[in-house]
Amino acid sequence: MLQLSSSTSARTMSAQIHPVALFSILEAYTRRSEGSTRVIGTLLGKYVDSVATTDRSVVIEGAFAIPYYEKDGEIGIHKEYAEQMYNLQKRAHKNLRVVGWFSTTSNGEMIAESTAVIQSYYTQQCLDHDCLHLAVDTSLSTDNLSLSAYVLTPLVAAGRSLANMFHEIKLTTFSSDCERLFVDSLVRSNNVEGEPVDLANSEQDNMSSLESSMANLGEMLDRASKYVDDVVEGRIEGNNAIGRRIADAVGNVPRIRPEVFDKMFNDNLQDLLMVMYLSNLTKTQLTIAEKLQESLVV
Amino acid sequence: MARPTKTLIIDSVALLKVISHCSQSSISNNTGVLLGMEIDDNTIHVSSSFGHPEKRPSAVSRDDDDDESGSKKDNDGRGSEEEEAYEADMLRMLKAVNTDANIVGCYTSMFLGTFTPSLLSAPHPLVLLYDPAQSSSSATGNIVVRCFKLRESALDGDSTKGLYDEWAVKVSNNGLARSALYDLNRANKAQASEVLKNNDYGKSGAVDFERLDLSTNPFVEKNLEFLSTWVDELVQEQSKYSNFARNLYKEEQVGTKVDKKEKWKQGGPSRLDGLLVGTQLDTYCDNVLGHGQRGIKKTWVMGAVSAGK
Repeated sequence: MLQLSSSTSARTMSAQIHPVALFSILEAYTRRSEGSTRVIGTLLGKYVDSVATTDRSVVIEGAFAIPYYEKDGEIGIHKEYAEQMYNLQKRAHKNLRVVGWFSTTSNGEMIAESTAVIQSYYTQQCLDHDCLHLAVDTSLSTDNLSLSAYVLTPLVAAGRSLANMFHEIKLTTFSSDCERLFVDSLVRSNNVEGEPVDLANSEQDNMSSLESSMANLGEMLDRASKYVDDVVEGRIEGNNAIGRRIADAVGNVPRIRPEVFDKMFNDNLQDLLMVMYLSNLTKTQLTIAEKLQESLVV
Repeated sequence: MARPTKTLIIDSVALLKVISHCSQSSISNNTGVLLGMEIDDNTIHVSSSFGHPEKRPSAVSRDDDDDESGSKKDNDGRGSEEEEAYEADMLRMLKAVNTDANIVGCYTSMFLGTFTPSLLSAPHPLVLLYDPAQSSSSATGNIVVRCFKLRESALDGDSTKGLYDEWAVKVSNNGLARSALYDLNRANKAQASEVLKNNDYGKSGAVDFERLDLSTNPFVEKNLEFLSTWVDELVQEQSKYSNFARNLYKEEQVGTKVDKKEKWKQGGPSRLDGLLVGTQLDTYCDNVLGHGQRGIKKTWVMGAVSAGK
């Protein structure tokens, strides 16, 4: 899913996609009409311009499919539908704009002849901001579900623009806090094929998620230290960038004198214990109050 | 609490949409519709969802019990017509792309366990509740989502057996979604050296470290704030109660023959409110307790880490 960018243009574009959009696209593909091999639809999201450089990042927050018809290799999309649906979506999610369009391919061919036509329509819809084309390979012929994002860049030679080229840009997945938790819990569940996952909210669940985070952290530390050991003993060739990053990470741990740390530790612990004690007290008082009320009723 | 026997199977797409819609604004009420179909009496499958447009701002600023006054009802009246038209439009469009166009229920967002029950007037008996505040990683570290359905007996006005049934929520994925999950999972488990080579493997990777954050304040503060407000209400309820009892006692003293049971049945303040408030307070306390327990664990880990240096 990760593609390296080879852009030489003055402004670097990159794209980030939320899991919602990805799953919506896959869902639309699963529900496509009989006989069609692909789905086409609109991408919604926003543009984020970085302050320091002129880089622009396109964040894809949603997607919906649109009906289209294909005849003898020619593709026509239902424009009114696209506009109506966009207006409806905009009412529910105020900050979304059209940022591009997606299409799925089942034969590994990311860009087809019809792509340019649809791209021009969508460039209008994006109000002349950068229009992103996302191609999703649903054939599962390779080991992973490949996604690629493209932007149209003009090919300029001797000052004249000759043609437009689809230029691939870096695409990463980006999730908000809650989405991450949800995806995490799905991934961790190890469910049997086809059986739905239970999102239980029991107390044990809370603790177990915490435990798994800590286990994860421990594992990462182990891996990092094993890597350092290997490099030191000459088993693996060291990579300077990695070494520097590890040094940074270790350096981030604050060095505190033991007494100061002890005091902080105890303070924190005592705060938490006090809050817990007080809430236990409140609970007990509530039970007593209820019992008293009951006794008032004849 | 008894284990719910009925199951709501929801596709991950639909739940993701609910999550992203409700996360847009943490305080205001986000509502929407669930689409899918009933498989049998005990199972409902939700395959998609969409959100309602934001209601026009009403005069009410806090979601308290005593705000079911006329002004709120007026806004609701206009709002629900607008919502119905919106729903009809969306359904028509979704049918064109082969999505299930059958409404099976609605969803709404909660804030730390409270929500405005204005949605109960809607004609959909099934409601899915999602709590974005509690679902953040610093709070409980889990997605908090519950599902309730109106009992048929309640529709007939009979509320003795209880109004709502709780349904268990299970998430299902279709094949493609599962493969996407494998990819996301692989990004999690990438080898350390690979990870550092490809600079960002996306934030969907090993990011449950936020759960290990030690900050306690916002969550606890909110809970305590609500707690104190509701305690006031509880006090009010209790005083109503004790006043009534006192009056009854006085009458008895005066000498008139009083049939206590009759009097209570006729004029006694209902115990329901007091019970509700009490249970709500209980829940808040539980939240704080759970949070405290997690915090203690994390503090010990921090101690161990620095002791090991």
